[in-house]
Amino acid sequence: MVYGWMGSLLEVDLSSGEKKKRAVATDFYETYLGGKGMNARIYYDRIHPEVEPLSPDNLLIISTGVLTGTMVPSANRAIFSFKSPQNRLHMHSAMGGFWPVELKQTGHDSLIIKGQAAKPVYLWIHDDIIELRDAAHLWGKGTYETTQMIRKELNNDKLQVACIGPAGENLCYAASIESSVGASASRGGAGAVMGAKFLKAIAVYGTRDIRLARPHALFEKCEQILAGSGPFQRDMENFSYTMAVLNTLGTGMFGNLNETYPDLSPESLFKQDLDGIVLGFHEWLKKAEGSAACSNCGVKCRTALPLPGGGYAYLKCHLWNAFMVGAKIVDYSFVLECCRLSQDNGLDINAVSRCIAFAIDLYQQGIITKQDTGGMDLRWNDKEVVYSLIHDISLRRGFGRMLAEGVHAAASYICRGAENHAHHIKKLEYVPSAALLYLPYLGLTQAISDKVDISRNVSGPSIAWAGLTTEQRQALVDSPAWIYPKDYERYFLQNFSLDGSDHESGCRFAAYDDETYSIVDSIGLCAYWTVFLMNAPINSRALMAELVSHTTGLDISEDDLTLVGRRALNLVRAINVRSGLQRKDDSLSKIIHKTPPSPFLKPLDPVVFDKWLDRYYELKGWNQEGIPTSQTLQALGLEEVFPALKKMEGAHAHHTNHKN
Amino acid sequence: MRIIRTIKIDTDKCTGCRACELACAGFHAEPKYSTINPKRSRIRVQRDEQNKLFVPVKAGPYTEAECSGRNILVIKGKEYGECSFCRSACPARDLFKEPDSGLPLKCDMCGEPAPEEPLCVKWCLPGALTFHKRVEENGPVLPAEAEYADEVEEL
Repeated sequence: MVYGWMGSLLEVDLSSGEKKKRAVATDFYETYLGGKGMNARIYYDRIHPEVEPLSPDNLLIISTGVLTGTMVPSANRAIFSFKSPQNRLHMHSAMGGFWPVELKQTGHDSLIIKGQAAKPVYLWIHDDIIELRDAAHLWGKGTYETTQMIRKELNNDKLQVACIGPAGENLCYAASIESSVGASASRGGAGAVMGAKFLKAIAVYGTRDIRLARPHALFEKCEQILAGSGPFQRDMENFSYTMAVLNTLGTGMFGNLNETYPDLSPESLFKQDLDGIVLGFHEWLKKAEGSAACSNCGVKCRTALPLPGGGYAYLKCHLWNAFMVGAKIVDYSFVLECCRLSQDNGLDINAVSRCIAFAIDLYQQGIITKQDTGGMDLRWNDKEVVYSLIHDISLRRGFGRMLAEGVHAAASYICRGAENHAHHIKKLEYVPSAALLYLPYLGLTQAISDKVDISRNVSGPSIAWAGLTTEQRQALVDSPAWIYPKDYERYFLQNFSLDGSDHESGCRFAAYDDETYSIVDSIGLCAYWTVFLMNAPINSRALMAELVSHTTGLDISEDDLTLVGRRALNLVRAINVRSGLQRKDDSLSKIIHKTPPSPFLKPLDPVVFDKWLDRYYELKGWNQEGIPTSQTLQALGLEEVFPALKKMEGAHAHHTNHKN
Repeated sequence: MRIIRTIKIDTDKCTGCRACELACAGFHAEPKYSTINPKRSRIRVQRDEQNKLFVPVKAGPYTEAECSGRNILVIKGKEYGECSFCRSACPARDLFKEPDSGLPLKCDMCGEPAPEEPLCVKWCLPGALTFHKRVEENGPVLPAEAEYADEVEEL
């Protein structure tokens, strides 16, 4: 009997309608633990490099983690892995909320969707009842309405729905898979992969038990975590506020909002706008009516704000500023409306806001004209422009067709120098704040990230923070918040600089953190609970290892857990190298190396950046082309992966002069 | 005089995280804590995110027959049937029933010996659930000084 996991995997072939439930071998579980790692293995074995992302051969692999659905606070994640249509690389997108826990309770740890339905369908999983149901009446509907209609149709208001909106149906690359309001798998075009399969939604309702091996020890540990979450709770009490201020306005370092979008012309936001934003922000916080949580998490990270037309919008992190800065409109009701529209259409707010900012910028620079936009006058500070672009993009209508595949694709259709305004990392629009990318540490962590998502390097700002005194650093090292190994203390205690000379320290933390996030994404926890400096109680690998051991009954040490994270990370790297990823792709937009948007920042010296990348690769056990070495793979039990990578090494041999 | 133990539910504070469901399900598992399954929980959260309505409902007495409650409540523009907030395990729905056997479930305030506070209260980080003891002077004559879990007339 396995504990923690449910023991089986469900595979649904939409082409044939076949549904297969398979038992999963215990050693497979032990090697990967779930989530990102398990998905990466299935991806490596079954999605070959030549597979077209929007073809029936691409798989949508969804795995919960070993801790998902247990008592462990914030254990509510499922990872959606697939080949991204946007950059043809591996993408894993994490969904919180309630859908993942409900999926696990149907008795399935993982769900693999393959093939393509002949007509729109939705998948209904209720324990062992697995049905593909007609979705003709749902096609074209928004995500809110789809959820309600499915609940009504199946006469169960407690079932959970993960669905796509019009954006996913129209294969828009910014399309997300949306679940309960605000929970989604957004990055990399997950919604488009589902849309290409004619799969409108996955509805789940499960009544199975999740078994725990050492329940008393686990409960005791969880109660300790909750008791220790006092400081964390306090920090998070005004979480959205803190994050928004930090990200939008920040301290002296982020004195100018345009840094968030360095491609925008710098003169358009004035001081009074900034004041307006601060003022407006305080006004809007007064309107906030509490928050809505994901499963089993007391953190109030999603602030609920009433919409003018009824209902609520939920905002967290960068969503506060994405559209406001993107369209230069200082108005919070506008932000809410944009978020509602994006969520209802099933769009990744970060990606779509950047596509829109990019389009307006091009128009203002005269690179595109009314001829391109179909007569639309793209002005800054015009709400209607933004609303209609959101609709046009999600419907691939008119000018929206051009933007529907992201800024990189749009720039290559438009040409005329548009590519200098299209900022992306591996063809994915990066998540604000771009200002952070000018700092070598954060530039590096974003450039090498296999998710291009700031939530996977959130420890970063604190590490790169030059403002802390040595005494303050010492106090942190002595506090329970310190999560790094003993020998990292001295790297942290050195004063950091912003010029990149701290590269030894920075690279070490970058190499440690991305492994931690791989562990988190494999065991099913939320990344926020594991962030250094948030005083988060579940922030050390040692504690995570204890939680996994108590849940499964296996004795998993901190080192075992490290191997799991490293294995997932290297497997994803191997998949991407096999698909043609090269060192030159681990890079940032040219603007980061050229034009700083603020006197506080300096351009990131490409020589410095290369030095960081060299060291990072070295610490990862990768060669200077960013390819995992055979020794590295061998230590992880992945030696069979190496021949495919060796072949790629030869293929790129003539690109060795990467420094230009 | 009798002392009644009860849980006060502040819906304004509830964030709908359903930690109470998981804690309850674990506590009442056999053996204790060995499994987690919110479908076995004796407290369930009625959630409507679009209207930000989160109402924890704790299982009450079992009824053999459907009641005549057909009232419709309109809250923030959305219509709810009376059943949405009803505490009974009843033939009309499968809420508050063991998913395997269909037997009704009822909140026992975490049984005897009475814990300091019920587990759902302990696990409620936002503080929406609070534990209260209330002294009632009137009512049926019952052994003095005894503490009763919630529904006195059941005893």
